[in-house]
Amino acid sequence: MIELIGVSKRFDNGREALSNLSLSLPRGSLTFLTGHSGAGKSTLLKLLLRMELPTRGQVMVGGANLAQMPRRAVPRYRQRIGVVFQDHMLLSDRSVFDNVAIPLVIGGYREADRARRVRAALTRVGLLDKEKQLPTQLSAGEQQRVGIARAVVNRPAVLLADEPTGNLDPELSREVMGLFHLFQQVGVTVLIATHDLELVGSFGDRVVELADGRLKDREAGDGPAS
Amino acid sequence: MAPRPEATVDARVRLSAPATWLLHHKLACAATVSRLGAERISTLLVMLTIGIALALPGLLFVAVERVAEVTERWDGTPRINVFLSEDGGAERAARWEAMADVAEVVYQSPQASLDELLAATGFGGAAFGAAMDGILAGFEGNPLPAVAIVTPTPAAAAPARVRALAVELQKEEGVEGVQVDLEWLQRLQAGLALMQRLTWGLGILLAAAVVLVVGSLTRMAVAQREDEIRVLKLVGGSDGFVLRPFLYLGLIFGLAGGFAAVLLLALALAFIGVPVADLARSYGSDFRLGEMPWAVALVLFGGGGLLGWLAAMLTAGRQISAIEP
Ligand SMILES: Nc1ncnc2c1ncn2[C@@H]1O[C@H](COP(=O)(O)OP(=O)(O)OP(=O)(O)O)[C@@H](O)[C@H]1O
Ligand SMILES: [Mg+2]
Repeated sequence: MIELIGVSKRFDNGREALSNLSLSLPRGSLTFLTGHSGAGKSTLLKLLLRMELPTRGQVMVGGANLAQMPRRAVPRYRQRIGVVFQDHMLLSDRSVFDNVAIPLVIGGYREADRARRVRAALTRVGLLDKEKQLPTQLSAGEQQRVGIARAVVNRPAVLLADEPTGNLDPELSREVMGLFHLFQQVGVTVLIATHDLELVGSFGDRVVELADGRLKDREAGDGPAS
Repeated sequence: MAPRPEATVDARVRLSAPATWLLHHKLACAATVSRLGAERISTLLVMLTIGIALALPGLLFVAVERVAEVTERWDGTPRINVFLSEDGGAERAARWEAMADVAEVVYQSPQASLDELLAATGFGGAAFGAAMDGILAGFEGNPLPAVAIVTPTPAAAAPARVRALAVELQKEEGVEGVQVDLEWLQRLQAGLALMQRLTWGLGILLAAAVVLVVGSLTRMAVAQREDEIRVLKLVGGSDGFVLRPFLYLGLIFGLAGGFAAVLLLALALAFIGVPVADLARSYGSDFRLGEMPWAVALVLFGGGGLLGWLAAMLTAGRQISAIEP
């Protein structure tokens, strides 16, 4: 589903965040992306979201080559990618409900289905009672969970998450991870960037470790291999 | 490839492309309206600013068009006053009716001219009769000449033909002078043409001002909401989707401004209509500014909306496609 072939990313300031990285994530796999701060985890996710283009190499998602994707095709591509951001990126002037509903509005879901799906997603992250509140009235962990609800609400083919448990206590973290596994089980390809090695260790999934933009692949447990 | 989980239910829960497009428009419009509703005062100020900018050329246009309309009606009946030197003019003048370009000749004796003058100047009343008699006593008899008022046929009513006819009449025997009632009309028409151009010029300038005002307002709104735009693009919103609320912002500013312009113009016409009619009456005219023409109201309203939409499209469109998440 996700295929990186010899990918390098050098920013305008000369900093090379990723160097000759090759990686293959099959459909329906769940992969943790770890590495020290500045290792290039967020950069890799940005390439997959086509927020950045690789300096060299190929980034393929679902058969599409992102480097060659025309600009006008990008929105439709992103509609199939669920993403949880490191800084959750909620709209501060819209209610929790409206925030979660955005991908459904963009995708043209019927109003009744929007409401049903938003409530289902909010129930999954335990925030159904907060649907009318503004994001600023929520704790950091709650905001993070709203971000997760928005990422999964339209059942994307690929789910990317950047530090999705950064602001959650261990119990909530485990719940969120359980949620991600649930999506994996229905065929969603999940990639989670995280520092939380304890969390990584407690599941038997594949772990990809980055160091200075290079691969330090290590298999953990019996997760699906590339 | 395994079927995506949502593929099986897609058709039942998702709208068709046109319905989605409509939904996006509806939501964008509603969002913009509620945003503006939360800032009523500044919205009202913008509306008035645009309204004044549009009402000004509107008023000028209505006034100039009304004057042009009235002068066009005069245009059909130019007259030539032929001053005759001596007696026997009546018969000579009557013969001119046979000329090809002449429709009618009305002979007016010196006495009739005097009566008309007295009536027109208001000196005919008893109070002034004595004074006028005194003035006239300075002359030997009636100082006014006999006049033949020549009306050209409608076919010969064009200024050039009338002038040619006047030259011809000038050559006739016993004609002392010819006065064509045309110069002032030509001057008025030249003046009107100038005013029409000025109106258009002013209209274009002020329309540009409206575009600039709405453009800078939408530019500010986009800049203020850059973070939101970034988020919307990241979750799959197209440039068009992101742009739409700002287009509605421009459109609503423009329509509201156009509406304000219509109100202001109607108010102005009512306000200066009475003194204009009084002024015209003092010149013996029944000229009226009249009511607001519907076409003008429609152009102000629709034009305002169009300008606003255009301004938002030009500024926000480029701005938004430049925002890379
Ligand atoms: N827009 C940018 N311009 C220049 N350099 C950048 C840019 N974005 C990231 N970098 C650099 O690229 C490197 C990798 O950054 P990245 O954000 O991918 O790290 P990370 O692994 O996500 O770190 P963290 O765990 O702290 O989030 C860093 O050294 C960073 O300074
Ligand atoms: Mg990061």
